Amino acid sequence: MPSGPWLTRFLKGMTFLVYFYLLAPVLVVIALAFNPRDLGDFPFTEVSLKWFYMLANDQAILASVRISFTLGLVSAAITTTLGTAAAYALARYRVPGKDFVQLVLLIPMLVPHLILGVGLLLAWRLMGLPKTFALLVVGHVAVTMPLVIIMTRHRLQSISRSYEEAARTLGANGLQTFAAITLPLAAPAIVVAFLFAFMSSFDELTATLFWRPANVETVPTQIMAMLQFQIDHRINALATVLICFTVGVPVLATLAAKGLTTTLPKLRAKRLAARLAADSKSADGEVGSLGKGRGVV
Amino acid sequence: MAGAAIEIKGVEKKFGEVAAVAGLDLTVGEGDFVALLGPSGCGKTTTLRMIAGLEHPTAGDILVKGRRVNDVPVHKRNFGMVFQNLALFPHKTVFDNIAFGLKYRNVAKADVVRRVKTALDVVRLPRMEERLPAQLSGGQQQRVAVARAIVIEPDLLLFDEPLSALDAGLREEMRFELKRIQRNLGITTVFVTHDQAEALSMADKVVVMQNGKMEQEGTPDEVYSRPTSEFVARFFGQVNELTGKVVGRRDGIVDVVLGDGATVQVAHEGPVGDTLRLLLRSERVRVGKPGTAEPGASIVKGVVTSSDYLGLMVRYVVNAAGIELAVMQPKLGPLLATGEQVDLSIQPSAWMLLG
Repeated sequence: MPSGPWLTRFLKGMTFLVYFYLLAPVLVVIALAFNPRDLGDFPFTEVSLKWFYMLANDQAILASVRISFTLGLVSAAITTTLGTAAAYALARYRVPGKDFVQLVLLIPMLVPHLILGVGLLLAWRLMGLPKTFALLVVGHVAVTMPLVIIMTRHRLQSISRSYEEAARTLGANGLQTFAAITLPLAAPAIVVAFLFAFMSSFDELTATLFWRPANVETVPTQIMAMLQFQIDHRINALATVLICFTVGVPVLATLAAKGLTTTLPKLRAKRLAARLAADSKSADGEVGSLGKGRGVV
Repeated sequence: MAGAAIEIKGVEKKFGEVAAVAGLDLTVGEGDFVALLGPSGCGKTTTLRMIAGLEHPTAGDILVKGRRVNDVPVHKRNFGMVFQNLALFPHKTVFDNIAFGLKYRNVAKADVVRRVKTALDVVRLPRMEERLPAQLSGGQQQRVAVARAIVIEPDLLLFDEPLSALDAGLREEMRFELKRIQRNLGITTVFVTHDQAEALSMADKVVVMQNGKMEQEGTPDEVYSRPTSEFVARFFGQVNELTGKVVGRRDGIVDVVLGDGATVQVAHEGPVGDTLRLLLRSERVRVGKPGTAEPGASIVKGVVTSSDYLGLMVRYVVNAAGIELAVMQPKLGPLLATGEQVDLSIQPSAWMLLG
């Protein structure tokens, strides 16, 4: 590979430009959210939280946020449960037609959401079901399923089977083994998968437009509606809130996942050490009794 | 057989068309330490896993203490197993790892603490309860894995090449330790290994396996000194293979003429005129300058064709009676040079005969 000070400088410059290209629109949105002028002129002369106040008092927007949260949490919970179960089966068992099953499970990721939206809607109508919140949940579960399966399956496969086998030889049945060994070891991936499922549900627009019942708006469809006829500056404020949320949640999640795998056992260990110190006097006298009755030496 | 801890009767395990274990019969006595020894793919690990219940035999029966266990699920068998990669639960402390098996046995809390402590004392690793596996050295992890297996007071201890991940020095120390622990507890133990030194030094009985079948079983000395097949003979180090014709006999010793005329004495009963297939371990031959032969040994004259200095040992190749013979011996005096005239001395009992 060629190298040299100029090449390095060039690459650094390009990297900077790429980041700038990606992040500049986000920064502009955040900046404009604090500009109280209606025309959004730049550079602006005043700074205020006007749009945030208006946002907080708009019942339609608040309703859409509530809907999006409910939809995201419910569908992410369902997807994570079903997806982890499917991933476990795919990672651990010899399922007949495994490759086919896997392909089918990943289809929602490959098919355009437009087609998914129309398809599910038609299927729903054919079954004679009313267009309710349930349709939205079912649709979002389908859309987020591939993501969850890929993420949890990868993690489950990297957990050595011998951990589970060791637990089984020590007396844990299948379910106990899953609860005590597999689940805690896969927990970081499952938490992250849940968040990704929630986020992509929160973000989903195209198919949601087909699935939502009358008068139900999610955050993306609400924004679409607001943008249809005019530029609404509350959207900048809303976007700013959402950006803080989308950046904040993964950061918190990463910390939480770390806590699950390292901090908790360490805390437990400390408590244990204290308990053992207290117990040690009473137990010391009985050392060596394990071999009693069988001893050769 | 009275006191048989494990009886394996005609057990077979097929993975698709491939037979990993092809008709195995084996009896392990109560309190015995048995090593299943063989090259990779010989079926030794599959056999162990079938005893543990992690694999199911496609044919045959496995009995533990006279009870057929084929259909007993793993978690109800009460066998302690130490895995090749140890499989210590990475998210649990040493204490929780060891206490894991007690959780499913309704042991009172105070007893759990006491038994974990006792197990840690047995493996000589006290005061480590609060560590995580990642904070332990390889040898310490090994001891925790053993403690976890013995704390449940298992009916059998099963080891699946547990020492293969350790470096050489530690491996020898752990060999001794495992042997000591097994002796103290008196638990019937099956130990799978591909390392012949491990099997010979630890086991009461060695079972040599190949292609899913038992080649030979016996005490370490039996399989080493009296192999019944060339495979077993070759598995325990370098052997020379020769053929000879019996030309004379007297009380337990026959005179055998090798290749082009050298005569040696072999401890054997058999008629004159027989052709014998003889095997000779490279360390059972002595090589030295003419006139240094051991008393009672047959002497064959030869010429050194190569020598490799290995530190502990020197490996010579000697051309004697038209045959190349490998000789392994400690360096006694100066190194013998290539081209030097030497005497090979071979005791009559050094020869191994194949039927």
